[in-house]
Amino acid sequence: MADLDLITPTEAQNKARKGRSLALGIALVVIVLAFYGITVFKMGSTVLSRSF
Amino acid sequence: MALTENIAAENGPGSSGLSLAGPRDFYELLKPRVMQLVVFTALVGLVIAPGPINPFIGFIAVAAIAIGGGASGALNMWYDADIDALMSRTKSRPIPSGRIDPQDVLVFGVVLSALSVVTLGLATNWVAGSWLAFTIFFYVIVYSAWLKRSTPQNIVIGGAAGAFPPIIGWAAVTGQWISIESFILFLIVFLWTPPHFWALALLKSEEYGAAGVPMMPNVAGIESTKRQIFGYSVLLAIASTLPFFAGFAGYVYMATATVLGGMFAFRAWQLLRAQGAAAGRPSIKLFVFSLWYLFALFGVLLVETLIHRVVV
Repeated sequence: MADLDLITPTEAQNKARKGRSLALGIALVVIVLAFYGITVFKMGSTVLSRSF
Repeated sequence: MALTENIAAENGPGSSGLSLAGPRDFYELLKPRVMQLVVFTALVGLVIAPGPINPFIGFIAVAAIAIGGGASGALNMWYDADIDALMSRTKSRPIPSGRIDPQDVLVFGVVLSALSVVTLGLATNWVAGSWLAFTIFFYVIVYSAWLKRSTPQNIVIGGAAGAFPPIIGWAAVTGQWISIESFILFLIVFLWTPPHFWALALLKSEEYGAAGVPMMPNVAGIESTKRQIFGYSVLLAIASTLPFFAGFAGYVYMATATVLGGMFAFRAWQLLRAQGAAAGRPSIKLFVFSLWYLFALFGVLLVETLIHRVVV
């Protein structure tokens, strides 16, 4: 593997990757919060009175 | 051969194969301008539907419909990248301009489609979820992959995809597949689509012809297209009054629909009368007016319904 030449991203590529990662992170948080909200609002008050 | 040389051989000299696409490029794939129409008409369908809906669930429903619409836009851009590259209006889109790899767009579109359908189904009901899935299927498979390159009726039939959102909004609240009210809203957007797109196609007919897309002006001719625009505009003006006669819109809406419908038909008449190069200006005026028309019509229906609910 002597000639394995690792890729060194350019500044623009690094910036684009960070932007994509940040956007994906925000999207995931929004999805989690949305499904949390859907669960609570769909179950309504019964969310507190279910049997265990 | 070193790894970077392999990649450079595949992607061109100096390329490392790493994407330069930013969040803004992915956002552009969602066709945000088209999404505005989807969001607004879906919102109107949802608000005027009888029955309660939790505001948060309603917000999630509209967001899911918007994302589903955006996902179908992304899949449309993936499929049409070859012809998008040939037209001035579309050649700066993310794929033809080389900012995003087509494979990434396909994955992005499929993931968002699935996510939007599942979210809408779980948040509201599976009738609405099924409608959204069908809308995405209709836009991507029926319109983009089949009709767009095979018939000048492409945007007439394919326009149904853009007309489904109010039905989805209605279904999200009521769980009904279809109703008189939601069908009328569908009909209004459906009849609005041909004059709206053909007004634009008249200006870009040479480009569509060069790209091999059989739009009405470059198949049936300019004059025939103008006559059809006028015909659809008259039908639209008539259909836009149906909410009043069906009993889910009041006098303010009726007056607005009558005036705006008359203005729409008048602009289409002006286009019909214009000859040769002089038709350019009436085409632009009709295209721009058609955008405002639909937002105004649905906006008045929305406001009138909300006021009626507060007062009564």
